[in-house]
Amino acid sequence: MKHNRSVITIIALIVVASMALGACAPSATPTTAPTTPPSTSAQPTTPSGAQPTTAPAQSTVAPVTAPTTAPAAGTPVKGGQLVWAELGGYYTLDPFVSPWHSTPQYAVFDTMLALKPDLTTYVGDLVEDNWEVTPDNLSVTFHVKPNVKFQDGTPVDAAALKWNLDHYADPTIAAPEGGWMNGVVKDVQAPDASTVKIDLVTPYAPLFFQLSALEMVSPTAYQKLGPDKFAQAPVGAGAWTVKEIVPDTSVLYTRNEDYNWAPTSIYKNPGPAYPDSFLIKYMSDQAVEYAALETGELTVLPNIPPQSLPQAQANKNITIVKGQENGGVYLGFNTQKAPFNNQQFRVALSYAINRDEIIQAGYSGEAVPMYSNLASSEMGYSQEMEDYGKSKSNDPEKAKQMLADLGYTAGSDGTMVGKDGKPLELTLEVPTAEEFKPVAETIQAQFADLGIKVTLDVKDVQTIKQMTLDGTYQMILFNYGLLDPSILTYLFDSKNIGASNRTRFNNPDLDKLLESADSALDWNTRKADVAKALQLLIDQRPNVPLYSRLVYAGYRNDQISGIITDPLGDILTMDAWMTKQ
Amino acid sequence: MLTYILRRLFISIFLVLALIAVVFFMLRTVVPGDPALVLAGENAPPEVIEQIRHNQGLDKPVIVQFLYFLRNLSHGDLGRSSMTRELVTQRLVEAMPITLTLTGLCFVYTMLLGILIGVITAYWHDTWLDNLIRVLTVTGASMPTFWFGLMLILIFAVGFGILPVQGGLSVRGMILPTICLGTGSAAYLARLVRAAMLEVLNSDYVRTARAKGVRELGVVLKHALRNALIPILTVAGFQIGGLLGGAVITESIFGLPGMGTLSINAIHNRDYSLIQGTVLFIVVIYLFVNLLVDISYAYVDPRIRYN
Repeated sequence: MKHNRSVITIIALIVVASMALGACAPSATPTTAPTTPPSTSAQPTTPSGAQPTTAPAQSTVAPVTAPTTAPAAGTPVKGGQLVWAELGGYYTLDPFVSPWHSTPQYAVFDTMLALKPDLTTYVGDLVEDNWEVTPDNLSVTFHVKPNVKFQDGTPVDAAALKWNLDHYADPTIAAPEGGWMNGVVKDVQAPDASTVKIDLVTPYAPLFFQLSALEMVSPTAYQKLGPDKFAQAPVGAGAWTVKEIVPDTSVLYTRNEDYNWAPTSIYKNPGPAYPDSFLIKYMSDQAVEYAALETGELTVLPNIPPQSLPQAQANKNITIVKGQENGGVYLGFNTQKAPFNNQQFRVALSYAINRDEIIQAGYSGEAVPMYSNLASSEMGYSQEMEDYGKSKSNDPEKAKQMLADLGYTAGSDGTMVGKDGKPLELTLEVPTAEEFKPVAETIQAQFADLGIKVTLDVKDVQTIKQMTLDGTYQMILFNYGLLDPSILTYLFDSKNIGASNRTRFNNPDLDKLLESADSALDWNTRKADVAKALQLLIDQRPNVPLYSRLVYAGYRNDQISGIITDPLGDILTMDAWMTKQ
Repeated sequence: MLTYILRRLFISIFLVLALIAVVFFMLRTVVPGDPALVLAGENAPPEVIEQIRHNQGLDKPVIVQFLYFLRNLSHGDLGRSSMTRELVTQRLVEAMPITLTLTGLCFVYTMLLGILIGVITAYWHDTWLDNLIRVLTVTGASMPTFWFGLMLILIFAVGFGILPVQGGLSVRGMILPTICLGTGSAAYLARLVRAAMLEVLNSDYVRTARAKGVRELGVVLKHALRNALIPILTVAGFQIGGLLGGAVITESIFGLPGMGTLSINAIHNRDYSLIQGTVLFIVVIYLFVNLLVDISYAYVDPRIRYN
């Protein structure tokens, strides 16, 4: 009996210890990481392969900071595994189907053009740098680099590129990345094995940007496997060959030993890559991601959550890369619905917004205020328009005056009342991501100071998108992102109402300006049109641009060397090698 | 017994179909979010969205879509994932063993820990040990899986560095997910076991066993515990359902490509075929486990018979 009690006592102590483990955990509680809603960006994380060129624009685009190359110690060596985190869900690697194009895609597929890390210059990736544009800007001829092969051994020639472009343009395929080609590309020709000629319906300035995003697949493999099987065994001409896909979890790549065509204007190493393999892990939680970087399970974390920054800064084995997103967050109005169909009303509300308060509340200052619809990290940004927008912001008294002019008066309890005697009550649709909560609450408070009651309606981002399609909302808090100024066409051209024009803004003058901007291959002409469009948007206020977030990436400097970064905080690994294997 | 099982199976088929029909129609009529929009990406023009809707068959009347679904289901075809283009059945077959492994490990962990704690606290009831463990079990049962998972990672992976953050399906990789998912259930079960054991330990036949000189361990395990098992079994059956549900969060945190991760991404992407497939799977498993629990009553207590 005594002996049995001893045994049971020992077991009991083990159990208590086990339970205590769970109970003691609270002392180490981290803040739950906010989740970022899906970006509206179509701009890929800069491909590990690369890019270049004679783009329109160069001299006037102001990057956030200069691109940098981390000091690389030692001589590059082959070997090891580069482990990368991809936040968010897994998307098919079939570029004709996927709505999202990022590192997992660009590791295996190269593009025709590439954008240099200065974010101002396009160069050839699968094609040479010396493309020609006809004087009428209606035809561009590219020359395919010699001796470039897809991973199945078939050549990357003019016929292959034409097949890809035709496939993207095929309306029955409805490739998300090829939507822009409809009504823009007239014909693609391959007069010989090394020449690709793109004829345009109208001059199209974003062409180079778009060609830097379209992944080129092996037509042979695609036709042989069919779209369903190709998604599981993709074949491109990128630096990495897909070895294993575990949907929702990881993609494992091995080095493409034949790869030697990375643009030397970007990388010292034309290829092959130095690490033996490349593992992309899909992770759903930022805190878990950061924990994996902290323990060294990850080599690169493209997005360090803000709450983990102090910890990362204290870790000497982690190098932090600071950048700015190529877009921002805005307060959008449903311009087809009263009272937002009144321009004066929209402008009045815009005066009530204090961006600095919002940034402090939502991001502890880790964002840049936006007073026009292009962030300083985007092409086409205009300091002049930014100043103009700023001059028409942050003036609550002006807002009150404008509302009074519209017939709104303060009721007995201070609530703004319209001519019809009804109180002014509005609803703001807010995505579920944690970061938007303090932002929305600050906007709510700022409008409350005017006497406007705002109800916050938190919904998942897909639901809000649907509401913008149906026009069943008043105000939305939303984000967008695209490096090219053609984002303005997506967001505000009337032909995109019911799709990406979420504010349902219909202004023929703006449509003309955007059309003019998108067809101007001369950068100065385009920039002037873009500036006019920005001014019109400030005057008409279909939305109120709020801020562009600062982003932080990190990598293990005790594992990898030779990293290149760009102003967006992207990490480029073509020159990088594993120092710890 | 055979008649009973057959009748239960027959009812289960109708239940599964009814639930699938509810999910099917709710997805298309009540749940907001258009899968064509997700597939089209952010900046797609309206004609691309419309074409994708057509290609996915989403432009047909919902009832027609449902009839197609039933026809395909009768052939064992659950369609293809709109996001990855893989066969849904293939995705389920890949993900199922992982979730079953995790659930199985958690079930064993839950039963062992829950019963052990329950027996100990009942045996030494109203002592400091009992009070301490009761506080801990309440804490354990109250901890959100998501939060507890992060704590485990912080302590064992980041703090002590003895286990991986995401170790996949390796033995080391499964330890934290098992503890994360199973601890709450174990704590809940422990409270039930304690209550059941307390009742049994005070019964006449336990007193008689002791009077006959049966060793204390034998009294507790053979005479008391077995008789306390009936209510425990019922709860254990439900626990499996709870574990399947909890696996959604746990798999997501620890990067396990099981049914949980699959269903979360399917919902996020409005991947209708995949959502329907995962629901079908979970419903079938749940019904099957409940049937097994009912059958096991008869084994544990021979007095129970089914008509």
